[in-house]
Amino acid sequence: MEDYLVMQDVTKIYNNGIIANDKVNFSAKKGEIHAICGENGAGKTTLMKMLFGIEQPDEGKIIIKGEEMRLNSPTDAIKAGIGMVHQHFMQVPTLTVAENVTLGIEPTKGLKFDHNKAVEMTRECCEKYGFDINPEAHIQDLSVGVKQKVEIVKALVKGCEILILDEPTAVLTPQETKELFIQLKNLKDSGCTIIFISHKLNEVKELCDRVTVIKKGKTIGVWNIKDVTEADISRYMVGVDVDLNIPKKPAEPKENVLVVKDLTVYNEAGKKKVDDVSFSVRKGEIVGIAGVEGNGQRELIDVITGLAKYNYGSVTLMGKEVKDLNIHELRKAGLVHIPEDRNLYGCARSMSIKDNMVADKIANPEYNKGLFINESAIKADTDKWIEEYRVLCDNGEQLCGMLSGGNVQKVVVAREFTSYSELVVSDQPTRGIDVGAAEFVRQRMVEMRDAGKAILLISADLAEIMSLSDSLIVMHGGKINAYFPNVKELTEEDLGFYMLGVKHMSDEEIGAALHE
Amino acid sequence: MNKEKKSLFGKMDVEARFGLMRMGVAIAIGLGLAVVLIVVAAKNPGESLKYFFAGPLQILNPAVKSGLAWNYFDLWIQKIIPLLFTGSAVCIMFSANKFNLGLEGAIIAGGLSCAWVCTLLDGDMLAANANPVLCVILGLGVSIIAGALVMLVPALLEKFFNASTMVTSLMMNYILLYVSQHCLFATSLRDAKTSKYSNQWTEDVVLTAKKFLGTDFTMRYGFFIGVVIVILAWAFLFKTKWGYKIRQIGQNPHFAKYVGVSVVSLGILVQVIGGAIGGLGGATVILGNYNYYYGIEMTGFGWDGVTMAIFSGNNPKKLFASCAFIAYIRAGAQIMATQPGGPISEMTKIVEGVIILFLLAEQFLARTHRKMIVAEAKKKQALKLAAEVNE
Repeated sequence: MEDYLVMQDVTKIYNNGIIANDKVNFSAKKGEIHAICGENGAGKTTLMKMLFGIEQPDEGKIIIKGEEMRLNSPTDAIKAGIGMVHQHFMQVPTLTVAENVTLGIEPTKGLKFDHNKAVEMTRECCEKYGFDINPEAHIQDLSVGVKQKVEIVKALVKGCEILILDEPTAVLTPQETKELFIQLKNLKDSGCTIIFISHKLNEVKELCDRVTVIKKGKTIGVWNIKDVTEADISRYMVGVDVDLNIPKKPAEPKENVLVVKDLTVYNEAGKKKVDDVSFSVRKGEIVGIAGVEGNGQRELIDVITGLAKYNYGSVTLMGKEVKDLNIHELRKAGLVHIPEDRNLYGCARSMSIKDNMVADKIANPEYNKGLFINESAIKADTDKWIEEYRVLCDNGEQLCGMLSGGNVQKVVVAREFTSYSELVVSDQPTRGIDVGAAEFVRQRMVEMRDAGKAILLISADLAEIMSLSDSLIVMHGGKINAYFPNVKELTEEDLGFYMLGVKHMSDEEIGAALHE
Repeated sequence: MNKEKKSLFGKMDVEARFGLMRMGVAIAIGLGLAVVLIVVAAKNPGESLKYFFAGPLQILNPAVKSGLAWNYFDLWIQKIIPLLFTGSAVCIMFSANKFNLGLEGAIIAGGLSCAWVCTLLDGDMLAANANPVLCVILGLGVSIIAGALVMLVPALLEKFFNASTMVTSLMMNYILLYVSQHCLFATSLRDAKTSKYSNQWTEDVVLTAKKFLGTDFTMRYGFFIGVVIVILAWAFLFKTKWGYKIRQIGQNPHFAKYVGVSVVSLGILVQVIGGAIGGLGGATVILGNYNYYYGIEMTGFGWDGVTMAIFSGNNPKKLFASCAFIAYIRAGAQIMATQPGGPISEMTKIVEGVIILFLLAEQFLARTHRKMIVAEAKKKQALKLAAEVNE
């Protein structure tokens, strides 16, 4: 079988000067599932963006079915038979499945959209590939797992022969993942080439035929999956064995710092997103919140960090009602916050590292001399933090946007952890950063805990949340579905059942999350 | 290799180098267009070009030889002064993403209120010998308050009614213009002898004001006030905690909110400061150049402020060069137009427009930009490799 798709010596340099891909080689055969593995930031997503026409390579060739292609836009890529399922679904929630699936290739009757034809097309495609989806259902009513299937059908309907899946299991429960894999194998048997991007090596091992490993923007090698073990792949990816076991002593929780009581939050559309939630976080413990994305975690965190208001129930930080404080006062009361989206909330990319690090403390007396800012004091402190938090940069004057994702995250963590704090809200603290930086951030969190801070951790990475948390809350449908005072006894599979809402705990067990 | 050049240009990062290059190319295109327009329109293109490019430098001024008072260099300075004020005001407002376009109104309010104070304290109404120095200082003070109040209106409308500042501030411009016209046509401010202008203030005030704000000598004191304002604006934006927070809002409003900056109140503050500077600028122009008030049409200075802020990337430090440049081509064009057979000076508007267009067009020179980034990244990578080999 000859190579169906070849990417040859592909180089991509981003506008901030980071070389994301450096002469990367990649090829896939017809009817195989080919994994691309690499640490976050290794360049997997960039490579796939070029294949899907979102980015254009600076050098190198893309050859499909023996023909060299220039893919200037996703439209070109779709024409060439390439489909992509993004990490974040590109769907219109208020439209039906059929309408979403046929977006861009709408069947028409005269000038009108032919709804029946759209439903027909969708149903046909679903039947052909064995997807069980109702074409007339509205996207907003579907679970994440089904939404993802819709995303795949969307690509298939357009006649895609090469399907790219970017971290498809990140948002799925273990059970949904299993179902997805069965369907992907069916697709493969019908002749589809699937490119599977993941850093979950057990999944790669289970699903794929071959694996290409990318490290720091370079191809390390290609292997038949039979010939390598998970440990091998991991070694190729990072050079050393990864150990997620963070050394930490048992927690010694003291008094409550954050108390959430009977909290109910409605979103702007009037939909109940957080439903009668009560729990507390105490000094010296890490409380984790697990859950499939979109089950109220976002709204809960926005309320706790002052980014959104609430009308029902109470949230108190060090005894003060959060609702009554603005963010400045909240921070003065001891809130620090590592936001989920470091580029939107976590930093100003066009300002320097130094400016980003002191952003929340600029009005502190130690950084002001009379009317003016005390530049030398700021420089002294930020230089110290750059070293302490191992930010890789030329100097503190460098713009934050010039740094890699992991280093931006270190800047955010440095700023937050050097401020006065009682409660640390850590929202996806290691998402999209490399293993070294992630381990560093996790260790810092444990140190903060041991220094007597209360820590609230939200993470979609199950391994992370299970190894870091002392106790764990599971959210499902806006409610707390389970509370584990001791995470050690918990298995990943069991956690999956609670996240999916298959299992429920009794009110009494859940009530233990609120410590009086 | 030219060592000198490398230490200056080579030290800058890619973005700074590209920014400078882009500015240079945009200006070159603008001036090139000016040359074309002059050659097409002028009766004697060589002579006109000479006056356009070198006029404000005084060398060509026939008046110097003949002893006439028309001073070309002074014209240049006179054109810089309002730009310094309005440029600073817009830099501060735009730094916080507040696209308030009501500076024109603030300038009118400043000029009008100052004129009112001067005629009131000085003219027939009080009859007494008012202290001219007091008169000028009071006039300037009132203009600052008037400008600030004018800008406060759209700011508060946004805060309480969520009305778009851009729309309300534009409306304020017209409101102020009509208020000004009303004052000139239907109140005691009007000079009965002429239909256009206000009562003139007395010779005492004129002399004091001119001494204070602008003289017939080559340098104008208004220029120094403008320079001080620019320096203050820069220090405020880049050296104080308030300015720092204001820039945070401009760079990333979500980030600013998240670190606890009160986005709304600082947004109002910048507009009030902008208005105050605008008002002072309006008064300085009136007192420095005239002995009567003439505000029956838009001054255009407010829009110049936007141009200047774009030129200097909202950094007041760069205002000096930007203001000097634009004032120079305006003065040059005016001098050229006064020569026999010279084309009309409005042509500078086209030149300015073209330069702004190229400065704001994101895709302009995008390919060169990419090439520079790729080359720089490769150079860095090679250096890193070499360092690793050495180790």
